[in-house]
Amino acid sequence: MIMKARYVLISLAIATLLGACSREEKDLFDKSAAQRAQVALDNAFSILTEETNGWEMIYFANPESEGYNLIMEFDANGRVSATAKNATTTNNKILTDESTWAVKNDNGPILTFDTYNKVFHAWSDPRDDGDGLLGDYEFLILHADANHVKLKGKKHSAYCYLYPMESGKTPATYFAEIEAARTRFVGNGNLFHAVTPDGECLLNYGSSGVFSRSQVGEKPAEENPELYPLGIRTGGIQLSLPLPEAPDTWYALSGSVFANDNSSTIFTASPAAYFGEYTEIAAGAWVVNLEDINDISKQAIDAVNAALKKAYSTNKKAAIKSLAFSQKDNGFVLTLSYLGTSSSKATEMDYLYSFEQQSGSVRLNYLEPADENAQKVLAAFPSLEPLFKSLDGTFALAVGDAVNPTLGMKMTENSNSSVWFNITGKK
Amino acid sequence: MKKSILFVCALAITVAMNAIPTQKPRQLVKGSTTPTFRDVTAQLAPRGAKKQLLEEFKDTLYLPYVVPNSYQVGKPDAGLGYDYHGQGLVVRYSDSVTFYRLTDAIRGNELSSSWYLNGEEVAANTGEFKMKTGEFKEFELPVMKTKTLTFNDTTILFEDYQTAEFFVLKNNEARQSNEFYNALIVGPAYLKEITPCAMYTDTFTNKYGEDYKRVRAGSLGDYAYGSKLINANLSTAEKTVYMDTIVSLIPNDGVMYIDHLTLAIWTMRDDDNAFPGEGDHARITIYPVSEAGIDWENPLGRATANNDNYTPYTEAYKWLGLLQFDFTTIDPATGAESPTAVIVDGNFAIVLDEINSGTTDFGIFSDIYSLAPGRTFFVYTADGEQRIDPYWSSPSNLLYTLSVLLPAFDGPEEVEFDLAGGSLEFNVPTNVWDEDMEIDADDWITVEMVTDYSTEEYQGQTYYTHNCVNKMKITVSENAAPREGTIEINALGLPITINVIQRTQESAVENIYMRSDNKLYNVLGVEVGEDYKGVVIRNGEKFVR
Repeated sequence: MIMKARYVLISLAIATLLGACSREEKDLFDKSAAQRAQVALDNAFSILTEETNGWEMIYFANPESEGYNLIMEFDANGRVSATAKNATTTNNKILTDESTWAVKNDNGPILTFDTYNKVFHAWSDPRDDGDGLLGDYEFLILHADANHVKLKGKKHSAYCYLYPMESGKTPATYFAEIEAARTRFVGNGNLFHAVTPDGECLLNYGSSGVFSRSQVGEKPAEENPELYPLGIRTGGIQLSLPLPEAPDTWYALSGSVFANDNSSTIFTASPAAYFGEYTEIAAGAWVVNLEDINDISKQAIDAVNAALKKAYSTNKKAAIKSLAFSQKDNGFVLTLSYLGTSSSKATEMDYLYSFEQQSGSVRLNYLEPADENAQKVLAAFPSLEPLFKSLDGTFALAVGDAVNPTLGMKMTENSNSSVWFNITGKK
Repeated sequence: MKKSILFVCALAITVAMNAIPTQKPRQLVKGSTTPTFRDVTAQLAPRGAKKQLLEEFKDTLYLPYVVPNSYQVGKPDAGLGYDYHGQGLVVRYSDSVTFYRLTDAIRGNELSSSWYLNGEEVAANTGEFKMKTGEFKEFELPVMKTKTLTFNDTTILFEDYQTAEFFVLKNNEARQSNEFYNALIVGPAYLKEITPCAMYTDTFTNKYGEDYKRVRAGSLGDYAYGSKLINANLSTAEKTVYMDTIVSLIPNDGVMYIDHLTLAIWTMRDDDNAFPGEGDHARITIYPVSEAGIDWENPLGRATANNDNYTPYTEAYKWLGLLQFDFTTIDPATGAESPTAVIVDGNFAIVLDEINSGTTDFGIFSDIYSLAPGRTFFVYTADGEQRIDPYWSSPSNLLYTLSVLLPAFDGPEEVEFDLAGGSLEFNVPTNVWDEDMEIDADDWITVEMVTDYSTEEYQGQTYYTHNCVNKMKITVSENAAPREGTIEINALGLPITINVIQRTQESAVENIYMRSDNKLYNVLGVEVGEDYKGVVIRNGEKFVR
């Protein structure tokens, strides 16, 4: 009896288990994976082809590449036109080419430029070294709507961003505007503060078109710097990757600040602070405008030039070429550049200044020649000393464009407004 | 790049050219679209080539003036010199010495060749070879007496000194340590091909904090001269032979702009102080060389180097590296020293001296690119200390690397305008950047020169490449009467003259073509002398002088 009961119990248990295994799972999606992919592909296709003005594409070839601007036009017959203008792939000329494109399902919705386009494939062309510019021509479609398309390179995993082009804008106009925006936003190697929910950091723009991130007050790491490539649109800055704790990558210009939807901002420091940061952090120099300068300095410049012409009588071009403030290993210096023995190759000498930031002003004070050679030049041309001292003082700084102080600032002595000079940044 | 207008007096470089049989004159082909750059390889002996000049010189110098030393007699694993270029090993007479093919032992390769003594095989393929080499003799440093040298000289005079007997042991894998010569180096052992128009912006920063904005003619090291017969170990170990002066004679056709020079060295220390004593340094001087010899009185450039100029090859091998010589000039007006380049026109000599300071502690390394960190060789210094040293060659080559540009400019020799004036624009094949051109022209002639370049981003750096073309624009003002003028261009030492002629459209000039008086006329119909340069007409025939 007990044995029979055991058999029944076991049978019931087995029956219960079998019943549980055969019960149907409720689907989480109402379509299959293949169907979902197809929907995404159809959507992307429609989005791309229905934008009759074409698309502004910020193309990051790879995760360390700067963002390149392209104008893309997709038609429903599978033809695509790509237009670009940059120093890297088009020799600064506007270049257009047509080829074909398609969307396909390949472990996800893929946008592919499947025939050769000399504009677009310039970045993915392996070239002689087998690597080329390490760009992609096939992309995973991450997002597509009428306002914005986001792609991810299939091989090199860099993101690309597309936005609808403005109606009626020619390529020449577009690229001219982009160049103007680039100069305005990051020309001369601009240095930004970035405030995100994670805190504040510095973004140092380098000539290769990327930001190097560092802590406030610190220079970017020389080895393995933290890179944030960017692209330029007329309305703001497009990052390739988001900053920490700031998921958005698009920062629109609002006044003199770049901001995104998550309250993160990118901006430059106040002029006095920027003066120091640009030389100390960004390793830039402030070039003094010698043509538009106060009278005392102008007289001193003329005296030096006269002495140079006399000393280098065979050189018709003997004269001061430039004066620039910068931070060097031996301190804060004013670099004098002049044409002496050579009419094309300038001689440079450094002269030490003390530099102090004081409550929104910058205090400069000439000290002495930085080395023996500079001392010799000073001894040969004593009229240099009045010139150096004419740049002494505590100066208020007025910035021309708060978005980018490197484009120009005016320094005016606090207690004597007749002592002034203009500076522009140079890296 | 902004347009630049340069007006400068031209420099005249008047170093006499030496007649080397394989010289190829520089061609400036009028109107061609591709520059005719000098074929540098044609003028220099490829490796192993029998070139009369080099061979004679080498044969004279190599054998008598070799002063080897430093074998640890009887020690089974004494290191021997390695003759990378298969030139043979010069070994002094000594007691029984065992020669090893260390590379085979370490690499485990098949034994590859027999041992040859003075050209005769003395042993078959073996890993080691023992022989009696005679009595060890002391030696002194030979002091060079001859100061004037020419390419055809076969005799170099030294003050009296004691020499050692020697023989030549040839084996491709033999290796010798601490071999010293006070020798003259003849010509380059090899030359890496350079691309004349490939120039890069390099962010290399020297110890003075100076950034090199451009490196001409390819990247650093692309233009290399190796010299034969040099292996100098300048250690303070006993029985060391110190080098006084090392002279390298370099055949060169045409103008060469030398930005700076590096010398591959290795130090005897584990740190990067090749010059441990205060004031220690080495000096490089470049002299012009003509048929009359080295012009010792008129150096073209001079540079010194000390520890500040030494850059280790890698962090792991601080005792291998490059010694950089940056030429400087003294401003006569101020006495200040500033960087400069050296421009040579024709053959020249690189003289390395002031290296025997007593505390100098480096050796001259032959080919830094042949470094193989996995290979280990044991070397015994004179005091018996065993060191593990990197592979180097002996007799080794003195590896100078010159960062140079061979400037070329293939522009028009003459341009013509009518009296209304105007502008002419054309693309000039050249490898000289616009801002490096010094341009001087008559007041009524305006010259604009803009380089066509492209940029490339690589690993965070921007590289600028000259596209081998400058856009040149010549503008001439209107004038009532015909006139002639010139544009003088100095392209990094290469002098170029362009004649500018402004003339009428009248047919008066055509009369010149009808004359048969054997006189020389220019295109304006003005009679000119026999030394006139430009387009001329004689007896109705037009040609260029």
